[in-house]
Amino acid sequence: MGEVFVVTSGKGGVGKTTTTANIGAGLAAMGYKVVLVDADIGLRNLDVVLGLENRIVYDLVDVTAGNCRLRQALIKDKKLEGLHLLPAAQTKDKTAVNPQQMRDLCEELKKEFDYVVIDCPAGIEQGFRNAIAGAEKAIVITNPEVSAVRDADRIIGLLEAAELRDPKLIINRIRPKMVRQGDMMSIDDIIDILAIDLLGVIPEDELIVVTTNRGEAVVMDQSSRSGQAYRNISRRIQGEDVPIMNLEEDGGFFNKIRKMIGLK
Amino acid sequence: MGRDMVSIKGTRNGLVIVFDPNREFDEIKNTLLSKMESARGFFKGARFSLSRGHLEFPDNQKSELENICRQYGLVPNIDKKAALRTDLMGSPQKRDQTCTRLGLGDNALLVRRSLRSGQRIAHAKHIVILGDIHHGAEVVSGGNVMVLGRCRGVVHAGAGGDRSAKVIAQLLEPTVLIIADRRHTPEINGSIPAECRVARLSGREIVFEKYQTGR
Repeated sequence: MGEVFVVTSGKGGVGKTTTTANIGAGLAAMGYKVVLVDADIGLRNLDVVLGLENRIVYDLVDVTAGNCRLRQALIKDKKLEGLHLLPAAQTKDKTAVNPQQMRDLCEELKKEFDYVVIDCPAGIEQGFRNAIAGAEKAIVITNPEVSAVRDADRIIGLLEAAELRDPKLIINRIRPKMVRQGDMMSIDDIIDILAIDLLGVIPEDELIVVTTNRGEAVVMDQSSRSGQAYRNISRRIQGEDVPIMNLEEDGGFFNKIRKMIGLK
Repeated sequence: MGRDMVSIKGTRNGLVIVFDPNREFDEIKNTLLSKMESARGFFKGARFSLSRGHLEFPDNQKSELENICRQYGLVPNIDKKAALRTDLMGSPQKRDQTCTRLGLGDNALLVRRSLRSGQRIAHAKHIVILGDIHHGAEVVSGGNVMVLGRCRGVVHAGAGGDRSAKVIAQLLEPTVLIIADRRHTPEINGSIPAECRVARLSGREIVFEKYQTGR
């Protein structure tokens, strides 16, 4: 039996879809059988981020409505053997599915996959309730911005009310330099406010934009720091104890010298 | 006594509305309606469950009572344990009497968790919170509010007009603090000194001071 995660944030644009794609790819690269479920019905994105848009025949609503079998709607990833996608419907809206249907769907997927990762839509309405209905664990994404952190707090409260205890936190798009200058909330500030366990921190990285537009996952890029951060998160999900990486280390020439003479 | 026919009790799991099992359903219904009416939205948003001691209501009666509560903005509590717990504690009136006789003080609602954004607790008497009140959370009390943690959301003490009500917190950084009908917004009225843990009314002004035992 697999595990069902929901990736949620409350606020839009903080990186739920990118994170879902990268965690999925990271786990699949480690040899697990993973399915990503796009629960953002009406505003589907996960297929685009994975570069699988043109392969969609059936979608989540077709499955729950009984228009097709589950297997027919699942799309295999181009590169990663174990990675699959259940796309959202684009021409319907959130009311096309109800929480019970999502619970049944997740039960079904759990039998076949090691990890089921659900990409939750922004907001706290029916789309959110559908997305969390079948989940056993939750991952909350936030940015180091007051509004995103506030929404994350609201979401954590709603998750707890829905019996999804101990959600884990991912802080996305942190800029170590701005934190150092006191212009951005630090990891400690955010944890202090939200009071939940940290699953990972992803530094701001232009490469995310590049890979996302190409329909690739940054987690497959061995040299990038954001890719490394996502790899670490995937390893933590499967139970490994990986320390949070030092974001300060940007590998510049002067930093190396400073390190050599023991200034850092 | 009409007063005992329907009593509303605050618990950790929201409100428990306790009904006298020996009364006729119509009487109970009317008393509940008048109670809700006189509360004028005070309980809005609170979670509630119904209890009738060991006697369960027939389903149609129960849903009728629940609908009344819903009309006044209350939210049904799914947690059945909430109702059972109060039965074990005995009648609230009895405990009230014991406390007063021994000079032990008043009853208070004990909240054993932090309140996150969007969560709201309203209670007719004192509220003690063993946790933080996050930004965006709301606490409304007819009496004092005591926070064994950080108070960052909206707190309202003495909501029924009690001008002697106080707000006490380990860290007093509220978004808005209201005592009776006076309102303090740190952003507008000036920030609260870090060493202050107590807010109370002095005349028409809310004042902030250090905590002193027994005062």
